[in-house]
Amino acid sequence: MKKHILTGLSVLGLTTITYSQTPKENNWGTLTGLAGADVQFYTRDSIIGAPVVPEKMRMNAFLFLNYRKGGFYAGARMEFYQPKPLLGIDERFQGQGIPYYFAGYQYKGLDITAGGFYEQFGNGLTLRSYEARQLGFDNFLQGFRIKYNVKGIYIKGVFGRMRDFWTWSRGTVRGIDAEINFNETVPKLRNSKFRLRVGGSFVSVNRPDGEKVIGQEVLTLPLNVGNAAGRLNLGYGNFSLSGEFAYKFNDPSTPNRYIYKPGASALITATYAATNWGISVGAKRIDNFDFRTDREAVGNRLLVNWVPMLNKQHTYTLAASIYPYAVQYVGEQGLQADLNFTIPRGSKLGGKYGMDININASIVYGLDTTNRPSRATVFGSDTVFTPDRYGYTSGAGLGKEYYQDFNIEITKKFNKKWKLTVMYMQLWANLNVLTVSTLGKDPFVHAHIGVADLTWRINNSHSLRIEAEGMYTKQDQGSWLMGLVEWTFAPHWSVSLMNQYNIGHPVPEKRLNYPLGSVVYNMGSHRFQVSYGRQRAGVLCIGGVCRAVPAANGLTLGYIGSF
Amino acid sequence: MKKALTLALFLIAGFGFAQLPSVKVKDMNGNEVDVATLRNDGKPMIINFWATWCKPCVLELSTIADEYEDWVKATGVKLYAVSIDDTRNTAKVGPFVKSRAWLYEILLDANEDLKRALGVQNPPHTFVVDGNGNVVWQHMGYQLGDEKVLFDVVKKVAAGEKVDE
Repeated sequence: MKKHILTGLSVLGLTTITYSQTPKENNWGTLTGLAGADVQFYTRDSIIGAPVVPEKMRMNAFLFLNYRKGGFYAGARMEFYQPKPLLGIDERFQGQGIPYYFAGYQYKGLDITAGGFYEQFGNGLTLRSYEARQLGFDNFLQGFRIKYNVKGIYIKGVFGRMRDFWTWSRGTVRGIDAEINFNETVPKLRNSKFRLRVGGSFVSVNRPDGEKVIGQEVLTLPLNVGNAAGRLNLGYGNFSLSGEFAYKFNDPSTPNRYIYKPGASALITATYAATNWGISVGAKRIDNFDFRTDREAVGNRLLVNWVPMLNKQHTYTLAASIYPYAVQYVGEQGLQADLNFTIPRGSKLGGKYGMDININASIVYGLDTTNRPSRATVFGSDTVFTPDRYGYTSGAGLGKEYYQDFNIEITKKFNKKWKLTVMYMQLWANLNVLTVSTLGKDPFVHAHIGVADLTWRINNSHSLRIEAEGMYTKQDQGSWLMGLVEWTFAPHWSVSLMNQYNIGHPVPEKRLNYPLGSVVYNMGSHRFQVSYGRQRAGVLCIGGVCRAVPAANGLTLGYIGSF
Repeated sequence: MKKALTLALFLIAGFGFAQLPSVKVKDMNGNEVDVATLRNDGKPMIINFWATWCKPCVLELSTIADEYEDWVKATGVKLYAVSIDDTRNTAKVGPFVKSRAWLYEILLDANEDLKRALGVQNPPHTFVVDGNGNVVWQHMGYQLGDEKVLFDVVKKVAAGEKVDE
């Protein structure tokens, strides 16, 4: 085990040394790479609920190389998770190897890839394969991809199996996507204020599952499940409107409890962007749209499609990691409005540098569904009730409330030395949906969050940042306070101290502190980080996909470098 | 495994990297842009990866925005701000940028093709490209004061001088 770790580290180290130099040009082609390693040493800390880690130390590391010469390109990513993946990352990643490798060729409008690839059709309702390393999420497809474009017409075709930790999905994905950008296709529209793009995609997943027996029932499972979508982007000057509608054929699976109801999804967004202000308004409705290469997969595993969230992507600690919203693929509907405006420079309120204001509101409800009645079947003297396999019908009304969030953020630079951001947010979260409930007695949380983030630029290289956050709620774990002091000495060093305090926990013994100290050293495109302290159990979300972060205590060493 | 890795190391020791890759991204009008063809009349370019949700990115771009016109006057530099926002946020990029009156060229890399091709892990990540489309400098992350280092690099590139790490 140690040998593997040493090999991994030495490769990363050597690569770093080799490529810390200024890039050089030659006709061998060009090579870029990215290497990273995170090592955690765990300390026992039962009071915060940190799981016991018998290995004491765990490491995630990778090395990604990307080569190009002319139209030819190739690459590979080595991954190491030894002796086990970091706490919170799915343990099925344990091991090491080269899961992702590819080669391809581009010639004029044609681009052919063999091996692993990441692809997205439209908004992702039919297909999105991507990687979010911190989540332990990676669903690239292994197979073939062909892309062709001529005069604003774009066609893509994909065929492959999906990454499933160190193996491939049993199901096969086949998909095609086409888009016409009329501004590129029609010469007259080239510099027009009017913009129009129309596209469509069809993705089919082949899963040779045959039949499924549930109790007395024998279900015949569809061999192929299709998912089709059409989309439109329309613009005129500062105004734009985009929408996508998708329909999925019947797809009984574990997430939808083996129902045969087809799925449907709609997204629509309108934006207006003028100088000093801009607004975007969006609406969506998702109905039975969980789509995977394995019908028994749950959680973040083997997802073929992706549903964009309609909430602000919060980044302040208390706002982002305690009650974040995660998309409900089985059904939800929501609205969002996001307004940005800048009070111009030179005005009384704007001062010398102007003042940026963002106001955002979003609301998500479940669908208004009616379960179809069960059917009674008589077996001799017994009557057995079997559920109607169509599942439910969904109406146009609102179901249960899932999430609501209103927030306002103001950033003001007073002068060259001082800058302040303040944020206020109010949220309502249904913990039965968000699955982070800890107490369980009160599934609905209403919280107020306030943030002040002050930056003091002492001189050209030294700066100090102070962040204070508070969350007030009477439900669940109660109120939280958070404070952070970060001292930066550009261009290399940054030192920070942070503490989170669960001041309002209903159980006084659980009113705990979570201190964490970090030192970061930055050198060009290399970054080293050491942190020590407690990590609060919470949720980490990237792009609407979330994973639970378990509580932990200990030392973390991190390196990331690009060359 | 070990042999393969050693071999890989040997191989990469022979290469350099320089040219912008031929990867396609979209501009704000939805038109496709081949990154390899980006040019600025022989003057330097900055390629900055950012996202609307990334606080240090927004801090970096708004700090540079205060000085950008001076930078352009002095060196002719052009900044391409490549948003890696996914489709959850792509529609917000336009209003976000326009409300701040940023003068940068905005590109969208929603499928992260350019991000992968240039070996970017987390935003912000900044590249300096010379007048011939060669990547000559890069930096990960942003701390207040880093923009001075960046501008020094841009001035050197504009003057045709060699750039150190």
